[in-house]
Amino acid sequence: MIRMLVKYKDRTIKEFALDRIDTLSIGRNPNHHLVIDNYAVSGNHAVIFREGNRFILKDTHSKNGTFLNGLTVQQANLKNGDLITIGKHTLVFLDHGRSRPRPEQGGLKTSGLPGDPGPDHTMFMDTEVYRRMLTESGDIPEIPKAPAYVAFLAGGNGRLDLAKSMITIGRSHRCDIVIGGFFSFLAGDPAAAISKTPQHHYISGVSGWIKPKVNGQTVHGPVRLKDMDIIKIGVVVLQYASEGPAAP
Amino acid sequence: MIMVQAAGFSDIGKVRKANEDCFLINEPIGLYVVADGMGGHRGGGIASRIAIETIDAYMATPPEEFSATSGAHADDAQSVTAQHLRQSIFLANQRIYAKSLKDKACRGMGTTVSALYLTGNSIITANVGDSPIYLLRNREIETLYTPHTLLHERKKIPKSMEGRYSESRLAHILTRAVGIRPDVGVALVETPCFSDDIVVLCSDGLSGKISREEIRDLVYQNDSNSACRKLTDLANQRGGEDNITVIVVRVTSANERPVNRLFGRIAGIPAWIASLFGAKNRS
Repeated sequence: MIRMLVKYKDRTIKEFALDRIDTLSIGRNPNHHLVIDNYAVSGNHAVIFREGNRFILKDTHSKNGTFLNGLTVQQANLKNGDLITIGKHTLVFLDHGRSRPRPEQGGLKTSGLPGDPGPDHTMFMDTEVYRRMLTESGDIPEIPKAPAYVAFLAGGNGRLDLAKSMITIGRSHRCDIVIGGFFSFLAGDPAAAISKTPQHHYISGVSGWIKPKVNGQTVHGPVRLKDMDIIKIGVVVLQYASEGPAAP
Repeated sequence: MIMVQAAGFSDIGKVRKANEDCFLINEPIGLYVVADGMGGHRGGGIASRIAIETIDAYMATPPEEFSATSGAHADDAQSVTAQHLRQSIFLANQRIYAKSLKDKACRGMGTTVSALYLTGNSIITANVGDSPIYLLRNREIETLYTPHTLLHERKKIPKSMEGRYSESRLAHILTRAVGIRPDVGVALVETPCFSDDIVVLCSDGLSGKISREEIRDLVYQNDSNSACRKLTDLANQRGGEDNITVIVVRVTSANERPVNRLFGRIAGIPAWIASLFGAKNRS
């Protein structure tokens, strides 16, 4: 069973059985077997054809190139688990007809150590075997990043996702959150900043006479934000929320 | 300008015959690196040394000349400096990979890399492999690295593989390392730096023996130098099966932004008046 999955943004949108197909052409022109209507894809982009019992990927002089496992290729043999990238689409080549990699027999490879390494030695796993394992197990389940946001309770509407590494709060429009009101000239530019580390967010005062407060406590150094903390700075009141699972 | 006080220490441990760890403290440019080599009788030590030397030499050059060529891996979310650090690890990867292909004794060698670069007002860290980077702030400890081990990426292990390896075994199986493959993925973190932040970089010979909380307490109770010694001694007391390396970087003063200059305050008055009439919030 030889299959080709066409994926776009982690979703499989099409599937080809290649067992009885000799050629599979790919491009933007409507005469191809696989038509990808996207300007990153050339009219004639690439072709996959059978030679003996192997399948070969060939780039047909595409403008933006064909990538096999992240590297540009002109022509290459395909093997199970190969990932072909064309524009924004990913093609997964699956060949379950041949013997699967047997993890207990060299699936996990120690990197060049003669003999068996002790249990405390660090091993390196061959990424190719690893990738093949992943394609066998289906979609790669990414561990979702905990999205965090601040919701306006006063001084603004809606919520602001804390996606950037640094969110500034201040009196001018250069800041991400602008403090309004008559006394806003007392606030710095920026007055406070919410910064991000991989697991947490911190708020810190930067400048000006208006200092941020978290749950009523004035902030001096960086303060780690906890879920549902109330941040008050001038007329702006924000509530911090981290939706994801609490980081260990 | 960030003022720091840094100390590093590396120990062979009690079991191994060679120290394959390598570390770098380059205070003038604010670069700190720990590399934990592996593979072969001598390969591991060579790989970690090449990594350290390459990264050090590359980071000493200004980033401008490379920013144009790094387009292939450019990521909008990261600053030029972070890209520069990433490039240095790419270069180290190429050198080690080339050497391992050329020299039979070094075949299959590789190394983990955990790097800290202090610049402007930011902490930039990059890591490949399982050497931890910890940030200590407000008496709490958190991690700044992504462990590239099967244990951490356990959710990606297919059903057929489950239960075949114990947790301690999975923790020692790397999914990424520098110098094993022609290409390498680097995990980058960039975050603002504050006074009294402490960053600890170590090899898994230390983190495997001592819990995060113990590291936190020891580092806060001692100055950088004796903290390094005490951590190493403790890891040795508990077996010392692996090489032990630790760097403690203590930020004594990070100058926050230029505060409240009068000129800026006066120049801000028109904007303030406008804000009284104009749009309130942008979100």
